[in-house]
Amino acid sequence: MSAELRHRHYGTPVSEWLEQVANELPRDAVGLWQIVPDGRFGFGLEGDALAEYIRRSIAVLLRRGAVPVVGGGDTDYYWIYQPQYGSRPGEIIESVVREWLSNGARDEDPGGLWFALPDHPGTPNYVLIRSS
Amino acid sequence: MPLSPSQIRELHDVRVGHARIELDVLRLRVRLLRRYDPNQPRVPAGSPEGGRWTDGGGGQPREDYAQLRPRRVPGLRVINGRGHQLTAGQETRLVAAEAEARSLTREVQRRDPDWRPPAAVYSDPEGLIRANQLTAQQARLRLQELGASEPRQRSFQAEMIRDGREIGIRHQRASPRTRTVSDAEFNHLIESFSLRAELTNSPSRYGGSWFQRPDGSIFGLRRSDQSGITLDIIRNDHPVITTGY
Repeated sequence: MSAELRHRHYGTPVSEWLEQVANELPRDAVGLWQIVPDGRFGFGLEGDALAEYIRRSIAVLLRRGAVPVVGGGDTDYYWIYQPQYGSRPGEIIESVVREWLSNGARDEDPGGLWFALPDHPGTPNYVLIRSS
Repeated sequence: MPLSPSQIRELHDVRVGHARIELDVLRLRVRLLRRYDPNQPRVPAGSPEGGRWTDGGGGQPREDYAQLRPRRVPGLRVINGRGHQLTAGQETRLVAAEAEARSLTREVQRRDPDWRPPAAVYSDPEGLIRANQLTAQQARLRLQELGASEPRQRSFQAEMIRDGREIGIRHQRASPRTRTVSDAEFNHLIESFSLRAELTNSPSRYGGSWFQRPDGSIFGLRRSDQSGITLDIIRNDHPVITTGY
């Protein structure tokens, strides 16, 4: 039986790490720009292994109720929902990873895709949900 | 009757003094406004902890982290008695400008306790940002006059790892790369990082501003719903305090 991969600095098993990252959702969104370097530098992954890490990360975030968003910039909203990635988890995961690969599998920047809970109690302007 | 030169000087001194007092009052009002959020949950009056800040969950009061609670109207500032709604970009540029001005003013006043920044007249958020930049500039000049150097610039990791441990706490079992720090610690970090940091291009969808430091590292300040102003490490050459921290 092979031991589960652990974070190079913190020693956290990868499955536990993904849950910890998703624990951030009630306070803040989680960005692809944070997920990719976690996999690449935190766990030393590249190629297919890194793509699989990103799939697993997004799956946990979606399971916790997050949706794909981009920053609201100087609008009245913190985040703007991105419906073009699909509605089902599998569909969203593959769309995001496909786009990331087609962009060269690079480290993303914070102007890109994030995952946020669609509702925040007491913050009516948290995510702008526009119909596609 | 024309005023004599000494009367003109006296009048000038009175006006400057008046402007300084006005500025101090405005600063006090802004500080009070920033500390008070009428929507922030509190322990009910009558309980032993009545009036202290809480995390809204009915648990123990968390005084140290009061300033990191959300504001229902993010970016609201009173300038010259008028409320202004700042954009995320303006708010974060102002936070950085105020931090640098504070840091340099404190450094001057360690050597020259009577030194005060010049009085500035402004009526809008951009004017307030420029006034803070002017304060920083004047403080630098005063430090030069005093033959003193500016506060030393420290790397992200030098400030964020102390005694081998990352500062702050993990909130609700979040990732160890996401830290919550006290208001005092947060202000200290921004004061340190903002020294000689230049505003640099950031993605239009980033809800704030990026700043490049002389060593090439970049940090971002953005508006976050639950945490107020949030610090992101955008670029840094360190294995732990790195992109995404």
